[in-house]
Order: sequence, then C-alpha cells, then structure tokens
Amino acid sequence: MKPLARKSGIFAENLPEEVVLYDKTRDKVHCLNKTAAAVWENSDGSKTVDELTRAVEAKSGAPADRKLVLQALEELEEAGLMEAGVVREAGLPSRREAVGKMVLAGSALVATMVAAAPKAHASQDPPKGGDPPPLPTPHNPPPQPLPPIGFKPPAGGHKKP
Amino acid sequence: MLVPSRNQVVSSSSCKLGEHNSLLSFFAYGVKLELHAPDALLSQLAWPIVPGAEVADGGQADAVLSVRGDRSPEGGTRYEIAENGAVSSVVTGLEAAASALEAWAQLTIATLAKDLVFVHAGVVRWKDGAVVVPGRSLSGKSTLVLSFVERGAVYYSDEYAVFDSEGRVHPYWRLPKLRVASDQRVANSLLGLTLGGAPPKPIPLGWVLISRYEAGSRWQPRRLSCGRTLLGLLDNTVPLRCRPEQSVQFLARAVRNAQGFEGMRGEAADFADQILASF
Repeated sequence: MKPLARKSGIFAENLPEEVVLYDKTRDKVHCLNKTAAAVWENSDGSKTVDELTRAVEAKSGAPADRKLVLQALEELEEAGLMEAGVVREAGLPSRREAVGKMVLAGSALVATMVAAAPKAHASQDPPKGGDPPPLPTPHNPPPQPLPPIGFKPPAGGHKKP
Repeated sequence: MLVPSRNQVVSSSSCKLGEHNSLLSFFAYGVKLELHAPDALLSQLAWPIVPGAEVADGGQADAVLSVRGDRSPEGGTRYEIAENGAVSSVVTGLEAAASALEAWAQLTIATLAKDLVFVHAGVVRWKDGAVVVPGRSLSGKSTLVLSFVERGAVYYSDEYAVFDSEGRVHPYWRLPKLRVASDQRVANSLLGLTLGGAPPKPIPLGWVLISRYEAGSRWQPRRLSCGRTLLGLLDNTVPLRCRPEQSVQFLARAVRNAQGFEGMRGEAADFADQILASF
C-alpha cells in the first residue's frame, strides 16, 4: 500500500514556511513544517515512500531522505492526518525502528493543538456538568425570547413604568 | 455609569424572591444580545457592558442570556445564567453573578461577531505595532498590560485582541479589570481620561508573546515560527470552533509580518522592562 493523506474535512492555510491545517472533524489545528507539509500534500495513494521522498525534495527544495519522510508519515498518522493504518499497513518500518532515538529527541515536524470550546469566566461556581454549554452557532440558534407581558416601553425613556 | 435602559418583563415564572425581571437589548460588534435578568442584577452592571454597545429596540436577537435567582441552601442567592436556554454558569451572590453575566455577554458577542476574530489577549501599541499577549482569564493579562502602559505603551485591551480581515488589531475599549483594588485605582488614573476619548486606530500585529508566569523567572524566550505563532493565537481564539476558516485566515494574515516568542515570565514589571527594551 502507498501512503494516503486524509484531506476531507480539513482546511489548509499556507504560510511562508509552513502549512496550518484545521481538522473540522476532530477540532484540531496542526502546524506542519515544510517537509511534513510536502509529505502530506503528496501522499495521494499513488507513490511509494521512495517516490514520495523525491517528490518532497522537489516540492520543498530542501534535501529529504527516506528516514525524514518516514518520520513525517508517522507524525502525520499520529495526528490523524493520514488514512487510518496506512503507514503500518504499507509494511513500512516505524519511525522508531528507522531513525532511532536521536531523531526522536529532535523537534517535531507536526505540532498539534486541540481547539477548546471557549469559557467565559474563572470566578464562577463549578459547572454542574463536565462540558461547557453550547455556544450559539448556526446549528444552535437562540430561542425566541419571552415577550414582555402586559408591558409597553415608556415613550422616550428607559425607566420602569 | 449604570445600565441606562431596561424594559420590565412581568413574567410570574421568571420572578423569584420578589424581584422583578427586566429585559435589556443591545447591539455590539454587529451582534444583537438580549439579557433577561433580575433588576437588582442589571443595576450592578456597568454600561456599556461590551465596548461600543448601543441599546437596541425590537427585532430578533442573535442570542439571549437569561438569569434566574433562587435561594441557595447555604443562604444567599444562587443565580443560574442560561444562554439560549442552556445553563452556562451558576454563581452565588449578586456581585459574582453580575461579573459572570458581564463575562458571558462579552464572550457571546466575541463568539458571534461575524466580521472580526476575537482572541483572549492583552494588547498594547508599541512603536507602530501591536504587542499581543494571549491568555485566558486570571492569567495576569491586565497586570501585564498596565505594566506596559506605565512604561509608555498605548493601551488597547486587557481582554481581547480583535482582528479584522486584514489581520489588523483593533482596541477592545474598556478599562482593565484588576482584582487588586489599588491596581484598579492606578489603572483608572492612568487610563480614565484616555478612555474618555476616541479609541485608537487599528494597527498591524507586531509581536506575539506566548508566556506563562513562573515566580522568579527571567524572560529568555525562544523565537517562534510563523505557524507556531499562529497556533499560540488560535489556542486563545474565541470563535475557532464555530468559524475555523475565518479564524485561521484572519490570524494567518496578521502573523505574516509579526514576530512570535515563547517563554516563562517573572514579575510583570520586569517582563515589561525587558520586552520594551528589546523591541
């Protein structure tokens, strides 16, 4: 099998040296460096790792080797940006086997952040439930407000009747 | 100034503890918000609840916040704040309820404002750029911002950095909320007159400082890439989950010409000294 990136439900924004992806399905944001971005973009299910390595070199303009591409593939898979199990099913050696501990200690090619639901205030009683309440969205429209009963706003003023 | 306008809602189901409930509608940042709350609570709110808010009449609201007061088993009054019918916060005591209601109103506007992206952050202007320090409530934003202002920076916000489609930073024009009374007095004397005038103009993003307080730390930051700087802002972005594309696009434009740094910071005054000396 050849590596295949997951691209549905993902929005990409190109920066000068990186690509930022928003995964709408999982509400996660990923920052891919040049190499990881080139691997993700070129993983179309038609290329072997060697072909992918050449494509990455051409795309990024920087030297890439098989070990670096494997590292990127594994990080992309861990981030949920590859079709499930592709790296393992492809019979590829894992990054740990391929590159050893020295590279693992280096900086990640893919940085991930979970998009948390916003919270209003710290000085409040603990919430009843675990999750914050749903915020108004197109899928969570506000209900109609209760109409004022038996009340007419005073003309030209804001005071209570 | 207290809330200038509220229309009484005489609804037996929403009256508790002999209180009357009132309705307050206002527009801010293109969003219409309705508050249904006991009079005693509304009278605690300072106006405008959200910077630039204007009282609204009629028409459908984009969101409704309603507050119900009830006797707490421990004594005092317990307030439930509901957003569009879903309980979002429960607080005890009038002052805490007013504070929570104000925060929810501001957050709701920040979430729903369609043409702007709100990021939890303190903001000052230094030279020609915005210094943005992202952080949630109680992360020390207000104290930091005040330290910058005391050293000559121009105040923009202690709560939200407001980004437009070109990535420029707008002021969130309210007095800083400081939890120490003496600091609040300093803020009032420093900024009270300033806030009486027109808000400053939108400016390009200059610096983003991703920092966390650690007693005794000295600011020794590492430079962040454009993408990592963007992640630092997105981590504090209010509408990220409901408008991810807009959030990412607006902030990506902002960070292209900005510098991002990350590190531990010590006391606000030392941090501000170091930052402004280095920029």
